[in-house]
Amino acid sequence: MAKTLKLVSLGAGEIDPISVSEYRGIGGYRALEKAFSMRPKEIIGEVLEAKLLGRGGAAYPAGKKWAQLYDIHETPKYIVCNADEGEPGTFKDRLIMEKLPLRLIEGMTIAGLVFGSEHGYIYVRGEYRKIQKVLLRAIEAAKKENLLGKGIMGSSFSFDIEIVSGAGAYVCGENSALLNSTEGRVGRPRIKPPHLAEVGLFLMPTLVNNVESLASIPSIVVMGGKEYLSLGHPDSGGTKLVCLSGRVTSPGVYEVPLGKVSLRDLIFDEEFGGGIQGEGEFKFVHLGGQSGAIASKALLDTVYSYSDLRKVGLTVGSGALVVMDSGVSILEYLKKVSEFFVHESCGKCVPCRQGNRVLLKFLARLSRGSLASEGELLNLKRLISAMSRASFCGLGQTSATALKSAWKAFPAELERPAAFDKLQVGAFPLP
Amino acid sequence: MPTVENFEKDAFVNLSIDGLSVTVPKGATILEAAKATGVIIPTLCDYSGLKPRAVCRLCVVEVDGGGRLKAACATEATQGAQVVTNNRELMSIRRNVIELLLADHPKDCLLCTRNLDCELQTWAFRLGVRSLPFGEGEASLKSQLEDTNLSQNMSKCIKCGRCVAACQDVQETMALCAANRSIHYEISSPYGKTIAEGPCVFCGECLTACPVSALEEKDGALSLMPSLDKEDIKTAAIFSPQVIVGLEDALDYGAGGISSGKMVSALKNLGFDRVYPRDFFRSMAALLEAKELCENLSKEKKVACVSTCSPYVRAYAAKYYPEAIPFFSSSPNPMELFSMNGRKKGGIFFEEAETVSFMPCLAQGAEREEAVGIGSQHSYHLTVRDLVKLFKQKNFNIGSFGYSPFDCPRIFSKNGSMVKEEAMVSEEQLELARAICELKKVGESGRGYSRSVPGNGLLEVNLELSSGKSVSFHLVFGMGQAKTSLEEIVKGNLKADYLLIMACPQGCLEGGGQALKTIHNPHLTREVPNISNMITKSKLPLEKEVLGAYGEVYGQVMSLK
Repeated sequence: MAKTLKLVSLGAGEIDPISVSEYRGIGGYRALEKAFSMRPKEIIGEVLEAKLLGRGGAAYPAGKKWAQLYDIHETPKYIVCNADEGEPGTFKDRLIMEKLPLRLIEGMTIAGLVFGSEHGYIYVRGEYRKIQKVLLRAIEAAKKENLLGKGIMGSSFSFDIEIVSGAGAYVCGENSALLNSTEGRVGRPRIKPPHLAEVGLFLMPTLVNNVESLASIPSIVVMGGKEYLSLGHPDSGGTKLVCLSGRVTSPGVYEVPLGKVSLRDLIFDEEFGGGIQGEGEFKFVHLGGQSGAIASKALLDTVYSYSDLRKVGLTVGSGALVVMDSGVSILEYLKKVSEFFVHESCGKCVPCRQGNRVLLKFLARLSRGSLASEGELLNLKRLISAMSRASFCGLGQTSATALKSAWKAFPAELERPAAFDKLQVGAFPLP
Repeated sequence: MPTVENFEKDAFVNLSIDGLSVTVPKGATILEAAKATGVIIPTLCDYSGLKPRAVCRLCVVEVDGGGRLKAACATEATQGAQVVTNNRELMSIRRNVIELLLADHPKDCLLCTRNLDCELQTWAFRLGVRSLPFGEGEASLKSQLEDTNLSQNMSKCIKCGRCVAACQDVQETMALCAANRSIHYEISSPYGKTIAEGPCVFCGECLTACPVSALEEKDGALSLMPSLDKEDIKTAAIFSPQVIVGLEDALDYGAGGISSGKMVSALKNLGFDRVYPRDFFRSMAALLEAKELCENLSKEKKVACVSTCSPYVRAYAAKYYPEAIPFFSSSPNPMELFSMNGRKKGGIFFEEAETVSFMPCLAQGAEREEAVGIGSQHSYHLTVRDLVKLFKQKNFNIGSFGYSPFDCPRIFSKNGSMVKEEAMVSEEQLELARAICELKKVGESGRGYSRSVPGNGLLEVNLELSSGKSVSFHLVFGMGQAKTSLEEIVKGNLKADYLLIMACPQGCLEGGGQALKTIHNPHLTREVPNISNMITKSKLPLEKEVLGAYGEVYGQVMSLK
């Protein structure tokens, strides 16, 4: 029996991405039609019942976010789509925007309808230049069909979407930094509270949702929250786009129902990853992005759901699964992760700016085998804890997660790295 | 603070900080609540009058048990909150933060100008940092700020961003910004331009906000020492009254501990040959300005006169509001009047070769470096911090000095009399001069101005001249309000005849060249003048002498400009 379940990615690659009629052919815009016959509170109720957890990485319940924004009465409200897909190993939002941009637009329009908002913004990652063009053409197409713009579907509801782009800073994927960047300010995170629902874009109430979250809304509206929930895990409904990369035989984006497949299925099943490429053996998988944790063989039978993964210290995060084989030194891998954070820290808070730099130095010394004393390892542990506890935003708080989990999974290799000198190092491509 | 009269139940919250119960006004932060209970939470990026930025992470506390740590400076105190500021984990994190900062901070504390007066050093010591687990490297940052009078050593910078907030939020000057990211994150001037190319007015707000010695003026004291020691170079000094306040604070004499008389003695002991009363030059400058104002009023100009404490404000206006420049006064300010009187410049009032003015001002000193306006290699403008250094180096006990009188400016006179009775000043000019002088006094001494209240930088006052004519005065504190007023001039709707711009938001009393301790002194009470009574018939300081001198040398003074 096929384990794939297509909701968000249904029709990807099969239809012309900017053709409204072809999108309608696969059930497109039925949700928006239905939404017009519903009261906003009903729609929010469905999203709540669906237990849709934020697909960007933070897994905040989307229904809760919507309900909070609904209760705020200031206007105008803004709908912002976080399409700053900068997490290494993550390329699922890209699939939606490239192949099914109208599904995202439909989802955003429903959100606009719910909150009486007239303006939506899609903040697209700077590197996705071509995709921005696809989105623009899709917006034009929707406007032509009266599905966007003034008086949508003959109603009095108007909603327009604008594309904004950053210059390629990872930290702009953090929602408040994203809003700063959208406003033309420097893309560094804001102090919270106030939450973005209260004081968001241009200081007005704002909904910020990930591409995949917004593209999931049409399915929820059409089938109802209850059914959507039943497709997934009791704690988190529906499906998740998973990005498989690294040493698997068939890398790519797969859509799976939450709670129905295990990590082992995702990596080894012929329907998904199809096992490890070449001669090597599976060594570890890095879940959820660079800020996620690392799982060794021991955790392979964990079920892929938010709660099951959390129980063993892992996260769904962005949906990334970066698989590495036995030829890869964990230390060298961690060094790459650390280099990434040293490059991407916004620099404003001490634990993240200084901590990541020091962390990388530690890792370099570890891999040279020149970090021997227990005192030094203790200092490193203290640093990891300070970074994850005291950093300003999620970036700093999670930048040592991979190291922390790897330490648990491969203590010997981290603490006595000299014994692993013969390992082939630095010879793996990082996605 | 709410009082018994306006007590409302909802206006307060009660919370516990380290087990101590405290009631604070709603909206107060945990940090403020902690201060109210006497609990000290370490901070580096927090600074009075600036919005919280929560970037140093030193003030993290635990609220209601575990969960995420909160930055005390940016978290509102809520009803019933249980705050722990001091457990083992928090201590470890704080030590870690300091250790991380020290990882690339120079370790030359002994030689640092902020030694024993440095916030980083203080917390490193108090938090028990005794080793450097994260390396002993040293940043070799070189910044474009270093080419100016603003910075000596950016490698000392801990990137707390207080200077940027002071520049952007308090002064709205936007001369500083935080550029780049991660390890390249740095305090810079926008778009990598030099400070001189940008909008900086050298007010020094950034510099006084710096917790370490990253931003610091060039050591004026050092350059002055040789002249003071040489017998053949005659030196003259003036000082403004706010200098005394700064010295009393910085040298721990307490309010009223140093009088003008003792200051004169101390300066003479430093090696100055003459110490003149600054009031003389201020009154003279006011007279000159009043003459200009008077002329312009009669021409019915829309704005008769714009005066400013600093030549950089004028330069700023020239750059961004050039249409306002024709309204600026062309009269010299008191410091200029003094420094242009050195003998090499053909001094009128005295004949010493080198002039030194002490003020709580950075801009005047910056001028020495950059020669904007009248800069002269033989005149120095030193800050209160410079004077503190000089006194400390000499190990003076000013309290034990006797009183010396000011020296009297020599007045050129054809017939030998010191004071010529009949002055070439009209009644209207004198009235205006008195008003200008009083207004400047208010500007210098600051007032109950609060940095955190925007738009709080404008004082308006009207004067009825005895001729029946009415003249309106605007006194502006800080560059934010200055921008607003300059814009009004450009648009032609400024409702004032005379506009005085003080670059520093709290006047000279907390100016950019003041002793740091004074600026941080929470007990310092600023005079809040009754403005309506201000411009009365109070005489100019040294009015008789100044009028006499003015009559004698009027032509010569004016020709200097």
